[in-house]
Amino acid sequence: MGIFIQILLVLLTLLGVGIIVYTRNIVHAAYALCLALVGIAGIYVILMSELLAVVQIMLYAGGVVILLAFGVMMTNRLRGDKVISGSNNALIGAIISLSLFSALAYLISNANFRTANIDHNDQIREIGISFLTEHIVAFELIAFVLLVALVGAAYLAKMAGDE
Amino acid sequence: MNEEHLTYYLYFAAFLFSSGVFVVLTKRSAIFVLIGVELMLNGANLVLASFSQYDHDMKGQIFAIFAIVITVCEVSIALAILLNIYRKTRVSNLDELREVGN
Amino acid sequence: MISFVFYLAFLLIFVVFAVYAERKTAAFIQNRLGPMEVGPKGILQTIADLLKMLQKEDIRADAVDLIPFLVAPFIVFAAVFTGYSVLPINEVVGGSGISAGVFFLLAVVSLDVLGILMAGWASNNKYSLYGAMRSVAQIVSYEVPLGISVLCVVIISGTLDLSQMSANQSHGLLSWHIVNHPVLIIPFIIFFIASLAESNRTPFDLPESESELIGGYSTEYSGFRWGMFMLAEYGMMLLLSILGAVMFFGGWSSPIDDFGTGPIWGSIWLLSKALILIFVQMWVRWTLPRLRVDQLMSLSWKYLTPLSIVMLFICALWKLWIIS
Repeated sequence: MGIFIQILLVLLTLLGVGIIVYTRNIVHAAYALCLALVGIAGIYVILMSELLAVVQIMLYAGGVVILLAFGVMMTNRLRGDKVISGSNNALIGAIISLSLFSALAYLISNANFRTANIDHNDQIREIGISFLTEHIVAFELIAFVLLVALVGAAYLAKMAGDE
Repeated sequence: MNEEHLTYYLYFAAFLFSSGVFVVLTKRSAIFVLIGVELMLNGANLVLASFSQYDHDMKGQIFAIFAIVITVCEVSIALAILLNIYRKTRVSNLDELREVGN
Repeated sequence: MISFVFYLAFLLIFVVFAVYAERKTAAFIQNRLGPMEVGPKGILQTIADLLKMLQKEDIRADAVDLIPFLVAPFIVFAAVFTGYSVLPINEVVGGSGISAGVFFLLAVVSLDVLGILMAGWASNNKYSLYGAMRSVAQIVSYEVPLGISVLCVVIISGTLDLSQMSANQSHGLLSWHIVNHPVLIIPFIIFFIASLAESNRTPFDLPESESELIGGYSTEYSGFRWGMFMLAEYGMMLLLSILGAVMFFGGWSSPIDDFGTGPIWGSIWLLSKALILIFVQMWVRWTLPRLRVDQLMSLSWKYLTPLSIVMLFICALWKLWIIS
């Protein structure tokens, strides 16, 4: 039962990635990205990272995909034909990415990983405590980066609206 | 989860990363390139998460959460910039953008 | 599994009665009688409407983008219904034991925006796209005060798990969160206003305003798929009402200590509190006029979000000084 769910999630994500690589319609690619992201969130749950899975659904699938879809729809202004995107040099791109994948696969197959059996209960409490004790500098910096991004995006939107 | 399953997930993450590279290299529209960057970042996060299941402190998961937050900031700013460029030049095709501009 | 079957059955039966209750409430507020013909006092009206809707032809225009058009209503309903998985029923049957209970609910509910966007774009129709854009902007803007007011309750109760939150409030009326910690009254009002906006109800129903946009993003849909959109709207109303009952009004615990305890009484209390909140939502719908889109956005970003951040700070102070 467990292995069946893992294979199902991996196939779902592969379907999403396949649609992104194959389609020429940007809106369909954004929908397929959402499918791939939800599949990856399911894989995170199997890898016992529950908080990461929920953050992935909330931020990526619920935020970034909406943003992308809005972006596509705004740049096309109700005209349906401009949503198609062509592709350049597909053969050279395929060769480069296949060679990258084979290099990574060679490294993975030659590595020797040690595993251990850790019991994960009550993850959220421990992650919250470690955010405020061990990783507090990164936490505060992230808050600052979010603030800068918020102000920057608002300013850029205002600049566009002044046209 | 034993060591075999770990390597399968690492192969899967490498596949996600390389298909992200393929999308970035070949597609013409700027927003498609952003989608490819998202795929690459998800591949990297998957590697982090698959190693964090053997860590008592879950450092991999925390790192991946920070990476997701930074990605969200980057995508929103990138989209705002793309919308600005589109409004000024009516072009959203990355090849033609090279010729437009000062 | 029990919770899935229970909530699915309850949602379907609830929609049948809720449509009748809404029409009768609207009628009495507007000083008329409402449906009276079909069945005694018009009780069978919804069943007649349901039969009519189910046997209507599923119209598909030629120029629509076929797969997103067909799939969109089901995505909206699936996203709303997945949120029901973490709600408890009574003290014996809790929801799913996810450690990130409420957080998961908020994350999944933000996925229904994608279904609305798919419906609007795939309809290939200017009015659908305007309705979809307005609805997406409204839902995304009101998720911020909704999430922050939920965070206020989570700070005070100390747990994200909804069954545990209900169990913390099970010592009678005085242990309910809104009575025991009066600082939660304003977050409750913010939560209520945001829940009206999340389900596209008046005064926030600009996306489906019948006088301006015909039907908004559901214009091109007919028959069962249109019914799915309405089912998703009532489902979201019920979901946020049950969430409000669990977080603020004690969940499945009875107001009088020791009177109505036990599993059956527990679910009766929970559903009664949720139904009272739904009645208030219907009452608000037929009393207040609709907000314009710029008033709607400025209400969310200029008033509700700063107010909820201030209340977050006050709730954190309350937890620090009064509780410990």
